[in-house]
Amino acid sequence: MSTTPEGPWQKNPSLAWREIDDETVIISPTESVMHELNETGSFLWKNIDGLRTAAELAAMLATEYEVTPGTALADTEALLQQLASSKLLVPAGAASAEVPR
Amino acid sequence: MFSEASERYQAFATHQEEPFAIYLRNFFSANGGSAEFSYEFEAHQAALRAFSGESQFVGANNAYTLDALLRILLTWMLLPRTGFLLHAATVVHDGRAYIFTGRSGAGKSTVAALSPAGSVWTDEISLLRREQGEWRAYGTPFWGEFRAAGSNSSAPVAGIFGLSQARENHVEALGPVGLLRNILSNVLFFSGEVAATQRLLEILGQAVKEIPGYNLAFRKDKTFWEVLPS
Repeated sequence: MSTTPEGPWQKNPSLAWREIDDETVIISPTESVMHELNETGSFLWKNIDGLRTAAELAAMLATEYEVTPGTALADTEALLQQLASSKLLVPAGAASAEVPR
Repeated sequence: MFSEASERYQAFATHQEEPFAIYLRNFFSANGGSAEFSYEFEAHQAALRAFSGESQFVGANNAYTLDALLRILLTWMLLPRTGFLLHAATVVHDGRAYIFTGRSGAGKSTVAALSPAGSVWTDEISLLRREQGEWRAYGTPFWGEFRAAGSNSSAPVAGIFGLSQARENHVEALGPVGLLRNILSNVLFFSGEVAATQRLLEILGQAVKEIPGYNLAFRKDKTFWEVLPS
């Protein structure tokens, strides 16, 4: 399966993460930096499964939070880009990636 | 070194029928199984391997290295026991343990020095563990500047306080994520494995939801106790 900037992405398997209240915290075994996702970020994170594209995730976001499809897609793509640049996401099917400090 | 170590850790040794033994060796010997956890302490040319029921230390030829290997071993042994080590001072007040955490220089030893004799269980490494639905703090033999005998005792945790020094005392409550952000860099952890890190995060996630957390700005006198929540 090929990955375009729109996805699909998968969670970097070298990370540990957990939901606390409505937020998600993500840490890497090789660093002590904590990444935090707010409620909508957590919703997207939970649904990133290596199969769904940005458009599919945005549709889920729009339904869950009653935002317009355009807003949902823009927010989803922005978050995916941010997570991918931090190596918290990797292309679907890829092995883990070292998280930059 | 053996007599020094015996004196330092005596209060923390047990005489159980099935003790967890720690062997100091010149080289690792066959155990009959593969190590469940291993760590190389390169700066001191020391290493440990932990097995079910025992651990072997190699290169622990001075008190500092032995102490460091014990800390590393404990972080691993605490994972299945829902516990962790935190760079923090533990002070017991009215039967409850107050955990003061922070980086070096934040004030752990200052807080310890300002607390009544006998109430300080450690000024360096606190051990927190969840038992029967309750978080308890244990004394440890690990000390920083405020040298004293560690106390092999436990008490329910009153709260975790992130330290900073200021002109006036001020305490501010933290939410679970805020507390986790505050303590994460002060948690001792040495495994690079995802599963172990995930387990640690589960433990810490539970801890920050169940233990009250605060930022404590304090001035260097005993009055900081007056602003702590009872």
